[in-house]
Amino acid sequence: MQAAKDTFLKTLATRLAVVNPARTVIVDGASRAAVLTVENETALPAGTVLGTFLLSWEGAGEVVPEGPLMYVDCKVSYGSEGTSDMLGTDRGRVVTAMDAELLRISEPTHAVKCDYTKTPPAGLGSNIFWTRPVMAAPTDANGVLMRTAAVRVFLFAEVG
Amino acid sequence: MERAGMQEYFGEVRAYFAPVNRTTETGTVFDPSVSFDLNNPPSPWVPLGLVRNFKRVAKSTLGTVRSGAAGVAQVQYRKLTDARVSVDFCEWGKLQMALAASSQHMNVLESAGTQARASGGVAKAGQPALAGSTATLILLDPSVLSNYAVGELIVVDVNYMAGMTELGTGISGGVVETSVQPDCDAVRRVSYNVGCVSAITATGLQLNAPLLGGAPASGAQVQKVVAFVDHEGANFFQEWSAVFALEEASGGRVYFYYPRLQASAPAEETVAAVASGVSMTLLHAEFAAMAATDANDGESVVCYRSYVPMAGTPAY
Repeated sequence: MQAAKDTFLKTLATRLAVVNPARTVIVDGASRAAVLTVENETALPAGTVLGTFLLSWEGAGEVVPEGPLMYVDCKVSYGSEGTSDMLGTDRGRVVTAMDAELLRISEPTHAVKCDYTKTPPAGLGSNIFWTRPVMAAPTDANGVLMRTAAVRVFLFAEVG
Repeated sequence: MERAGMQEYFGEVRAYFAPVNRTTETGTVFDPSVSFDLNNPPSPWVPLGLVRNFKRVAKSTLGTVRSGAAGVAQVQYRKLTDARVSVDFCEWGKLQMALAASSQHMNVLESAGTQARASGGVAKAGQPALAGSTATLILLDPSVLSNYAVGELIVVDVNYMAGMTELGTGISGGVVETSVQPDCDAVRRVSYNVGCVSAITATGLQLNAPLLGGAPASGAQVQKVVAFVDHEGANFFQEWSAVFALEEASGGRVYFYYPRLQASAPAEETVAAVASGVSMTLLHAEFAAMAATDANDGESVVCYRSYVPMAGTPAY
């Protein structure tokens, strides 16, 4: 399952670098496409969730009992407090732009599963595939407009 | 290699159609050995978008030769080969409407509104497409370019001439009904050489996609198209080659290829409720598969099913 999670992260990050090269985040002094996984980062930079797609891995299981196809749920969080130039009044526009980016980087809804512990990454002989993001209503706290989207990722368990 | 890859999961179903030569009844060949980009299919395949409720029905029947008092089965033989397919087109377009309507599909030409007709009144005069026009750039006399605007639909085809039987350059869009004398616009009323103006240059009209029938024929004229219309009860049957592709999700891809599909049901729609007061109306189409000869083994067939497995998937 780890390879599936790594593949999903890398796929979204690679696509985001094309869809919006300006959406980056600085982690440990290095600039990366703004897609991070909570469990991979020991110390997220302050305010990371603003302007960044933050992936949280949640429940997992077999699609059919004792079948080879598994799923793992992913929550994608992102938000904005708007820009200072606009006194924060454009936070809704930023989140809406990120909605559109998330939909674009989610297509096509499949990718070749790779082992990213190897260099170069090695194909594992199957695809992962996922549902289109389902976006929840935004929440508003401390001036930050937040959105979460749910994606279910499917994988063949025995191949990585 | 893992056997799990042999369990296939697919995404959406996409439809692609290409012309059949109605004179020779020869369809466009789909070769599964050649890469087929679902987003940019090779010419002359026309992408018709997503379809729903894709259903194949084989109506072929078998007979059995029996012998002896007990009627023991000895051998089977094929009595009848027949295949049908039905889909709901999610997108509305000229070709989707035509396929779903089964009979000829007409372009409603811009008219002066002086003589009303149910499929479009007497049209405004066409303007000649000049020599050197291509399938995507229609050269016109510069003095008429101001009559056009970006976003408008145009049709580019020849005038009707006495003696014509099948109408449309490159693709047959209808046949001449012998009981009437068609006007000079009869070809352009059924032509598939329709495009959307994406830009107006100093010399002509740039189209957003190539005309399906290719560069305008000598003598072709341009008229504006303001709507599309089909009518129930006409004689013409649409006939096209078709590929339905199951998008890969887990790795493999499946194609269903019909060398010759004839529309076989009248115009109907499928309505899917989206929310209270909002519904999606899909174009329902049904087809009967016509025979084609396989160039490899000479067999007469009506459809093909191809499976392109992901690399590394076991054969058995």
